Amino acid sequence: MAPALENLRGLVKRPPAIGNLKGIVKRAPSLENLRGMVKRPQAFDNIGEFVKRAFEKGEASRFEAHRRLQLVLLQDRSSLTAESLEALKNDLLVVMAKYVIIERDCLEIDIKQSGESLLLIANVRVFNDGEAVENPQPLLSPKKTAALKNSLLETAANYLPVDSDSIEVEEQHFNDSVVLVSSIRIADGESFPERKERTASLAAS
Amino acid sequence: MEGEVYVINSGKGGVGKTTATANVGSALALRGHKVLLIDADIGLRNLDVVMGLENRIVYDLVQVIEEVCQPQQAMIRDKLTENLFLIPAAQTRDKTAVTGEQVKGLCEKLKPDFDYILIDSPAGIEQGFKNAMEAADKAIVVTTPDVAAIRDADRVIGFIEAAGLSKPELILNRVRPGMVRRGDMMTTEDVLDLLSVQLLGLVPEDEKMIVSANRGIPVVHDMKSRSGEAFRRVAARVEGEDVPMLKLEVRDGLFTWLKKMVGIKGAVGASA
Repeated sequence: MAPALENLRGLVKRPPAIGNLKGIVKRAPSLENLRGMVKRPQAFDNIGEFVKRAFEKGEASRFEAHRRLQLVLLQDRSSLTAESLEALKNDLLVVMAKYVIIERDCLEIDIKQSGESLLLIANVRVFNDGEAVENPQPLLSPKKTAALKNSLLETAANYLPVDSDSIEVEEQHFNDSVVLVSSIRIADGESFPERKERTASLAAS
Repeated sequence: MEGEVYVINSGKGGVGKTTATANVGSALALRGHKVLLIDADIGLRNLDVVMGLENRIVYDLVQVIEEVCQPQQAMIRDKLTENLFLIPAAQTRDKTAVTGEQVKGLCEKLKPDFDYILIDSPAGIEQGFKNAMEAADKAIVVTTPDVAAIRDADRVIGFIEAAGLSKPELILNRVRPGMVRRGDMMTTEDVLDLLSVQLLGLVPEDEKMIVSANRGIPVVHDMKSRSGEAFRRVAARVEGEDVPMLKLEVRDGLFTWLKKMVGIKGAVGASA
């Protein structure tokens, strides 16, 4: 029976020795460390933040979410892919070319956020001899400007839900060139004409 | 009368599509209807585990479509509810294994035998989603009140409308009334304003939903749970009954309770 007893002793000895336990206890943060934690400025920052929030009454985050989504969904629903943007660009160029002589490859179009709404912006540089003009005259008569506006609107409406009252065309005269700046407001979700068809065309593309 | 085919989708994954399918299906069956659930998420089969039926699968949707078996052979009878059946998705195949027309054909064939057929659509807007949508007459979109889920839901709603289904209805899942009251979660009105759809159900965030999924017992079987009650009301609305939305109330803390006792106004639980 003696060997068995030895085995048992062996088992008893296996638990960590007291020396090891001391090691474990020592690993816990010491009082100094705890003090260090309390002194860390982050704690005060958080309290500051808390007080700030409590008094400032900052806008609740749900409004931010709602506002951001409104714009994102507007962009998503307008479903302008890179290809259709290129096609829109070409169509706008063709329209403008009927009214002014435009420099090649100089149409920039962009969709920009302006307040609550989105604007389709088209800038085109009009051909000029490069001579400085002292007193620039308007390129287009009011009548022609109105006609251009109509054509631009019609073209843009093939791609985007546009707000027909919102088009603006402005001539910006510089020393050596004239830039025609057009902007059209993109209609918001509620007044989208044919969401169905537009999404269908997206699916097809 | 022929049954109605609903597709349940969301765009974004993980918002509770499968849970909603299991619960609305179970609730409809509990109301006495004959219901078939089809898991169309081929390759990512889930509805069977949520229903607790994973051990009973013999055949799957792809085998039905490929006519390896009869549809009736693939239908698993639910263990808790009479008149509830599941055709599970195939796990070893992918979304290209079936076409929309085939799923539609199957639903047409089974329509006369059921009151409702609910198709659990895969997430995303790819082939699997299109297959599920093609087979359905009506759509239910599940979303949660966060920016990513709502953006994806809007895309999906666009596709559903383009496909010629009737206007989809929305289940707003995982609403946290406390956060809504603090202004840190979009309200139901916010979400409906953004998506401009009808609300079919309002489901509060509920730990019991996780527990019920762990056990493979849809939460509608738990008569005390708020989320279960929410899904039971969804089923009633699907049937055409006009039931009020679940009032989502914040469980009062000690402070609010004290204020109420004293009678200070504005301390009443906000409805979400």
